Amino acid sequence: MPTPTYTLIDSVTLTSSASSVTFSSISATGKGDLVLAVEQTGAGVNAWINVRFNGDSGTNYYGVSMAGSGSSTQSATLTQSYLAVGGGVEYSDGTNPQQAILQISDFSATDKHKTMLSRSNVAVGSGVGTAAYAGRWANTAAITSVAFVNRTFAAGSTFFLYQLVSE
Amino acid sequence: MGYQLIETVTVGSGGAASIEFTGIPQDATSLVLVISQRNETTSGAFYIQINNDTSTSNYPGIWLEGNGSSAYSYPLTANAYIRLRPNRSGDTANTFSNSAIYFSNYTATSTKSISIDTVTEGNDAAEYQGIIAARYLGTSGISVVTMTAGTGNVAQHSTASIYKITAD
Repeated sequence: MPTPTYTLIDSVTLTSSASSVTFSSISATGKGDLVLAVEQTGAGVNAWINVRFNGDSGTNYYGVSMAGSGSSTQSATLTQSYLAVGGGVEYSDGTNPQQAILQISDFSATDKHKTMLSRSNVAVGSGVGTAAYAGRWANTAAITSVAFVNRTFAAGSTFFLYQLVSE
Repeated sequence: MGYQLIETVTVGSGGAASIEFTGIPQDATSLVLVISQRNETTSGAFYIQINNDTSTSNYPGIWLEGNGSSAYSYPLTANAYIRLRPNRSGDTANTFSNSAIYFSNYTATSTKSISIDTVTEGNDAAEYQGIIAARYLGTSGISVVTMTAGTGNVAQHSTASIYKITAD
């Protein structure tokens, strides 16, 4: 069995603010997971980072979140037109970044809905919190694009897309 | 290949005062640290320090943890390290904690975001699963990571592996 490897597919470092960031033309070659690492400083009180697959804006995304703000905890179930990344309590205040790590399982499969696990963190500032999110996109298509939407991402924000190749 | 092992340390007989990675190369985008750990003593702490930085203001963070019956969230403040819950003496033999730590943009000359998933599994009544948002406020690239028990040694058979994720 081959050793799984991370392969960088694409990366974006914003030189100016952007209302969305999209990785398109993801090749559904081989099996494996997609891993995205984000560090962004777009301000948004109580706002989620949201992610959408293949341009699907239908209400086809389901998830469960848990989050802690440093003083309280919460958990929620969600049905939305995107997957949330995090728990909704943590957000960048425009100065201190929000870090998010997403793993999308078996992205190239065409016989199953796609699932995603994510972590979201803000350790400093007015929007501190840590969260985890488990989501499902109710679609069997291979994922060929991933878009971060519904947020203005500030210049300097970084986005890395890797493929964890399993075979 | 984007995901490369830099080094693995396995603690030998008699334990070790610390596990340390030095000379971490500054040629990648992220670091991943994976720890399997146990303290030789009953100390309830396991510390991670960066770049030998002992400032008590450089490691802020937020915990969320569950113990099987309740969930808690609290801040990490005024520590000269990131503190994790350990497996320790008194836990069932051969049980170790498990932690995975992701350092984003670790070579940046700004502060560093750190994501931690951690769990203790001592097969007793007080076990924890936690997620942590942490930040290292030093502005040098991360080149040294040091792990120590709260008191005493890190136990034999503990392991730590550090990986880098490169952009090529």
